[in-house]
Amino acid sequence: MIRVNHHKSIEWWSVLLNLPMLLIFGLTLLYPIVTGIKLSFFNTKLLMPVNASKFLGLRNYLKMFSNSQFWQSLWITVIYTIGVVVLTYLIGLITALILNPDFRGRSLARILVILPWAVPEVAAVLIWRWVLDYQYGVLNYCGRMLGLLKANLGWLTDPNLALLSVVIVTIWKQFPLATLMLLAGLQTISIELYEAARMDGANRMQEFMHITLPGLKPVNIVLTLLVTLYSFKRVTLIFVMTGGGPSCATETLSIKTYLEAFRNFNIGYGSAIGTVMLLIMVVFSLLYFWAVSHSDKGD
Amino acid sequence: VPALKLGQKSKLGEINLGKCGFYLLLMVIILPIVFPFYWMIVQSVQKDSVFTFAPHIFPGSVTFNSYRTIIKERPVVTWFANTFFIAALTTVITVFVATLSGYSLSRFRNRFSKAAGFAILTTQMLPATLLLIPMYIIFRDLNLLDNLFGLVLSNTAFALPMGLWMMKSFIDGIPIEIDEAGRIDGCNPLQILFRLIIPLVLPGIVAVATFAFLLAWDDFFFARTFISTESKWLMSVGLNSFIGEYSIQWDQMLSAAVMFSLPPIIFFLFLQKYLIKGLTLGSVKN
Repeated sequence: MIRVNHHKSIEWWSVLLNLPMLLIFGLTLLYPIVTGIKLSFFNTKLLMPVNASKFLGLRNYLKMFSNSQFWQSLWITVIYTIGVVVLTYLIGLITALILNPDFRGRSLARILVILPWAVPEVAAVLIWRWVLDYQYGVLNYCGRMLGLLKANLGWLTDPNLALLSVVIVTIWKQFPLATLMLLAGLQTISIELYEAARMDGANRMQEFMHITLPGLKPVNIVLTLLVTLYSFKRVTLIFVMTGGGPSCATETLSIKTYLEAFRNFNIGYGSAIGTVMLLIMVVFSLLYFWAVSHSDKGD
Repeated sequence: VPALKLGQKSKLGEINLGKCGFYLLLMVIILPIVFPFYWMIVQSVQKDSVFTFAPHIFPGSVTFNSYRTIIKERPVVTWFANTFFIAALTTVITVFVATLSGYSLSRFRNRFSKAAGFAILTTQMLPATLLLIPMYIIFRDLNLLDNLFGLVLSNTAFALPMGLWMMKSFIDGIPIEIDEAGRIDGCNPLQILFRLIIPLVLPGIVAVATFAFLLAWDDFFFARTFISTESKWLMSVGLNSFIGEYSIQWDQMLSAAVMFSLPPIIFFLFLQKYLIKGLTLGSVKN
C-alpha cells in the first residue's frame, strides 16, 4: 500500500525538490547558452539593442574558418591543453605515489602540496608574474646566480617562452587536484594484490604496471576528462598572466572569445568562437566515452 | 603499499640511504610548490625596496607599511567585504539547493535523475566566456549588472553542478533503511530529508560549502565583466588593478595578494578533509 502511493508521488516529489535547481540552471545556464548559440548567427554588437541586429546565417562561422588567426588560436589551445594534461597527470601521479606511504611528516607534506589549489587564481598568477618578472624576477636572478642563464629571460614577454610559462603556472595551480584524486584512487587498491605479487616475485616496476595502473583506471578516466575540459576552456589564469600576448602567443580560444566580445564588441563573432569551443568539447567527450567503453569490452 | 617497503627497509637496517633519497625527492617536489608562497609573504613585509636586481631571499627588517598604504589609499577593505558577501551568499544558496536536488537524485531514481546526471556533466563543458556574453545581456535586462546579487547568481550556477554531484554521492552513502523507517512513521520526503538525512550528511554539507565558498571567492571574470563601480569590485578585480598600464606597484600588490589568499587558505586547512572526501567520492565510485 505504502509502496504504491510512494511510487505515485515520486515524480511529484522529485520535481518539487529539484525546482530551485531547475530555476537557477534555467536562468543562468540553459537560457544563456541557447541565447549564446543564437547570437552566433547574428551581427550583434555589445552596445546595440539585441533586436536591432541582423541575421547572418553562417557568415560568422565562415569568417572564422577562413581566418588564419582562428586556426592559430585553436593550435595554441590544443598545445596548451595537451601540455597541461600530460604534465598535470604525471606530476600528480608522482606526488601521489610519494605521499601515499606512511612517513614522518606526511600530513605536513600533504598540506603543503595541496596549498596551490586553495590560493585564489588571480593571487597565484600575480605572485608568479613577480617571480617571472624580466628585470626584478627572482627566477632570472637565481638562474644567473647558479650559472644556468647567461642573460635574463623574458618569461612572459618573449613569444617563444610565454606559452611555456603559462603551462608551468597552470600545472602548479591544478596538479594538487590530480594528486588528491589519485591518492584517493590508490587507497582503493587492495593491499593483498601487492602481497600476492610480491610472493610471485614481481619487482616494483611490474607491480606498478600490473596492479597500480589498472587499479587507478576509474580515477584516471574521470581525472583526464575533467583536466582536459578545464584546460581547454581555462581563461582567468591566462588572461591575468598575459592577456593573450605577447603578439597572440598565448591567445587560446577562450581568450579570443572574450576579447572579440568585450574588447572589439563583436558579440556575434565572439559567440561563434565560443560555440565552436563547446562543440569541440562535446564531440571530444563523446569520443572519449566511446573509447573508454570500447576498451572495457576489449579487456 | 610502498608503506610496507619503507617499513621493511627500516627493519633490515638499510634505512639511511633509502630514507635520505626519499626525503630529498620530497624536497625537490615541495620546494617549487611552496617557494612562491614564501616569496609573496617575504616580499610583502620587506623593508628595503623590492625593486632590486639582487633580491634578498631572506628578509632583512620587517615592515607592514605596504599593508597600511593599501588599506588607507585603496578601498581594499570594501573589496574584501564584497568578496566575503558574495562568497557567503553563494555558499548558502548552493548548499540549500544542492541538498534538495542531491537528495532527490539519490533517492528517486527515474528518467529525471538520469537526465540530470547527463546535464551535470554537460555543464562542465560550457566555456565561461561563451556564457559571459548572453549573461551580460540578460543581466542588463534584469538590472543585475553592477549588482553584487548578479554575481551571487552567476557563481551559484557554476558551483551548483559539482556541489549537487558531491551531495548526491554523500547521500548515496546513507542506508535507505533510514528513509523507510521515516516513511513508516508517516514522514513525507521533505521531513525525512530535514529530520533524518541532514543530520547524517553534515560532512557532505561542509564539503559542498567549502567548495562553493572557494569557487565564489575565486571569481574574477564575472566580477570583471558585470561590475563597473570601483566600490563594488571584488578583491580579485581590485588586486588585478594594481597592474597598471605602464607600471606595477608590486609591493602593494603582494600585500593585497596575501590578504586575499589568507581566508581561503585558512578555510581550506581546517576543512580540507571534508572537501577532499567530497571531490573524490563521486569520481572514485563511478
